[in-house]
Amino acid sequence: MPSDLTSEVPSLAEAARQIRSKRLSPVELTRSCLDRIAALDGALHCFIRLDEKGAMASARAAEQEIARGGYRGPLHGIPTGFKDLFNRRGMVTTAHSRSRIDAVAFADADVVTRLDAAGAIDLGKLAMHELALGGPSFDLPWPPVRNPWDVSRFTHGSSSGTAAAIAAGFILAGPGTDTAGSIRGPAAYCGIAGLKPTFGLVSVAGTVPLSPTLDHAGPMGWTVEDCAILLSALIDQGGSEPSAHLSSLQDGVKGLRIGVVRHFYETDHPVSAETREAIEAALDVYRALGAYVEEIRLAPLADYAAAAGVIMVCEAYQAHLGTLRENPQLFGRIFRNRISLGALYHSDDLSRAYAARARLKAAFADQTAGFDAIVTAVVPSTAPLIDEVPMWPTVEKPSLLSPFNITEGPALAVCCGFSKNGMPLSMQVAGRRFDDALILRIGHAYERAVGWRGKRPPARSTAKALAGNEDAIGVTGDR
Amino acid sequence: MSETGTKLTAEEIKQSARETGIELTGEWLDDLVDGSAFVIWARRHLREMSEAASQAEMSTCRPT
Repeated sequence: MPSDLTSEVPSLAEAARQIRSKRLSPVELTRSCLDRIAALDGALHCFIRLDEKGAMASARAAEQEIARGGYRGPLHGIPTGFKDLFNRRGMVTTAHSRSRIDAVAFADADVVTRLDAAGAIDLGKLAMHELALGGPSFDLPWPPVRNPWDVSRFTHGSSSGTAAAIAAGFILAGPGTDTAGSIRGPAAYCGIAGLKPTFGLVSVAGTVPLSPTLDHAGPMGWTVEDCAILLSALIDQGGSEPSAHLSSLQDGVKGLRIGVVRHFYETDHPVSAETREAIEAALDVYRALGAYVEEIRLAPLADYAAAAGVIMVCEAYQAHLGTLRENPQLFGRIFRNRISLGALYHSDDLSRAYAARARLKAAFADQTAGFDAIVTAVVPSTAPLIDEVPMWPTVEKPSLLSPFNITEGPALAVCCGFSKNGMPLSMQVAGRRFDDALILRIGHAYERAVGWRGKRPPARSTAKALAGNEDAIGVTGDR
Repeated sequence: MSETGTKLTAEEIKQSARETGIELTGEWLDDLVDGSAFVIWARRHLREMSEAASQAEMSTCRPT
């Protein structure tokens, strides 16, 4: 295994170009991903269930179909995987919880159906935070996912397996879910791109729910372009024309107005100096590309955090109340505790939270009028050590992620550099509802102008961690 | 239920949970005492937001 994975792992977009022109074999590509998983996932724990045989059979079928002239599009022959929250017919959907150890799905999730139809190669089910809320947890049947940039560090959650697997080159892209930041947080800590699309744009049918009025599904990939390709497949309506998410991707940012929400990350939830400096440098890139950058004020982060926190917990509590009453021991400590707060809220609290959401959505539309997008922080710093993650959200540090679950518009995490200790830094580009194509375009313009996508996590350090913990970690073919 | 402190008491939490059919004990109960700080804060904050919104709405009206 080389010390740097860059030379081996293409982006989804690059792999698709090579597969289409028959310069890359889906079988070879899938084999290389499986080899990487065999070498490194014992340290990272991305996969709950790896289907090597099924993946190779699908890759061979894709190769034959493409050879016969049946190329389906840019996901054909591309290795992917599914957060174990998405149903696959006939398979257990654990949602990384002992409480669902026997929950066999009787139908595919819409997301699974769409990626199957696009010809993607399913490598298996990916680890996550328990039921998309509790983690990192050390008391579940599967260990928490480790960060491929440094295995002692947190991945964020809940789409942790998907983000780490993309960064490590186990898969090229995959769908995640985002109720309060579960696509963007892991994308940020793992140094990839992740888009929480407009609420409802990607179907969540067949996905284990957490908070139905806040749950989103969306794409995660090594690059913003990869996210655009995946999003197009996830919402494909069957037409022959490329969707707007791809057709406008190369249009640049010249003349666009970008609002920078500094109060989010300077006063409401102060971030690290490195994060602040990386965002300022990214804004300079946008200026150099011809965009206008101006400061903009939104409602305080605390307003969004209060509304999102109450709605999410109350809805999740209702979803899991039966198990909480009858078999609470089936939950890990963190998930059990976090949803139990639902017992402490009153109906008045939830009513006020719903009303606050409506006001915040309306205010956001007014405050961002005249702007094409906003830029702010996505996480306060680089990934912390995995054993230093607090159980409870703190009042003093409201989430930088939840505002856009409240406003329901697109929000994209984009890698914007690296810290002195080599961990990824990230920024958030967000917009109004259904401006997903515009947000992807703005993220892509930045990514093309800088060189961050040339650097992959160092495989050698992960392999070293594995060698030092072989007995404790264990590697099996079916996880 | 207490609205003045920064956390709920163990007894308040136990009673609330019991009303929804959950019996809290031991570590679970202790954990929730810490977690209740967010509940108290969120409740207050949402109430203040609601009151501010009501006042703002009233200021857009005048007696006829």
